[in-house]
Amino acid sequence: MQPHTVNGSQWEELTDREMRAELDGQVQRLLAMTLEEFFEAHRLGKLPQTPAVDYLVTATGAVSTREP
Amino acid sequence: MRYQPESLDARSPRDAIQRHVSFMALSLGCVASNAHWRTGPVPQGDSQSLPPQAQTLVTTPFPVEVDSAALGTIALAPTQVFEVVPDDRVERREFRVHTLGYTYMVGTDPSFETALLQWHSHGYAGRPEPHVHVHSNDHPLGRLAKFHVPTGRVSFESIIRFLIQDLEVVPAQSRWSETLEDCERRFVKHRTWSRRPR
Repeated sequence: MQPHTVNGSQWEELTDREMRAELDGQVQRLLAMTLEEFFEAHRLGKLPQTPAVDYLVTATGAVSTREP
Repeated sequence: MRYQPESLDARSPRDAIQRHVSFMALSLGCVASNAHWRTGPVPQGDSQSLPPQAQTLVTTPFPVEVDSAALGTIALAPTQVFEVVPDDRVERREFRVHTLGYTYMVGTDPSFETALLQWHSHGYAGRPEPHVHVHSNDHPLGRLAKFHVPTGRVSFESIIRFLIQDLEVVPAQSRWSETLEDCERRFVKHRTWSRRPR
């Protein structure tokens, strides 16, 4: 997880494992559950409709962003 | 610092991500000097429709907290999901970022129990168009958050401009207007969709 400076701005490239840990931290912070529990609850349709859930659904790729 | 996007070639997928994040960082830096972006593979969950190489873009810290003269501290949680594709608009071999979706969330507390606004590039069944949710329970129509107010595709720069101009967020740099204008001009010039993600 090395910071990169690009044209004067900073950016970090995360590996798959690091991004999962990053998003797991966000899920735990916002919903007090793990990323895997979040995916399972989403699959079962058990997540509440809240702003935090909407954000996490996008960030984790849990929902399609394309039309069929 | 001003950038000329045409001079930033993207000869590799990583170059394309680097270029995209650079402009996103310039915009974010207009309100938060201590925040930056992280990219990495999308975990995907049970989604079957995202490309296997899709990337997600999030901020650190999460959320980004900024000072508003009108509201005190405001929490900002922006995220994008994107892929890198060959840029078929140029003759030489180059790549570009193709945004698959975004959510930009603004609230008055870092847990977003009281969100103010949420912009989405996509919705659920039957409501696929970009929209915004306005969180207010005190309105003749009732709970406004249930409405999907159409927006078209919203630039991240326009969200930052909204924070500064309407929510009175204190700019983190004096040239914020020129920076946002530069970045947004590039976004508008190079975007490949404006109504629905495709």
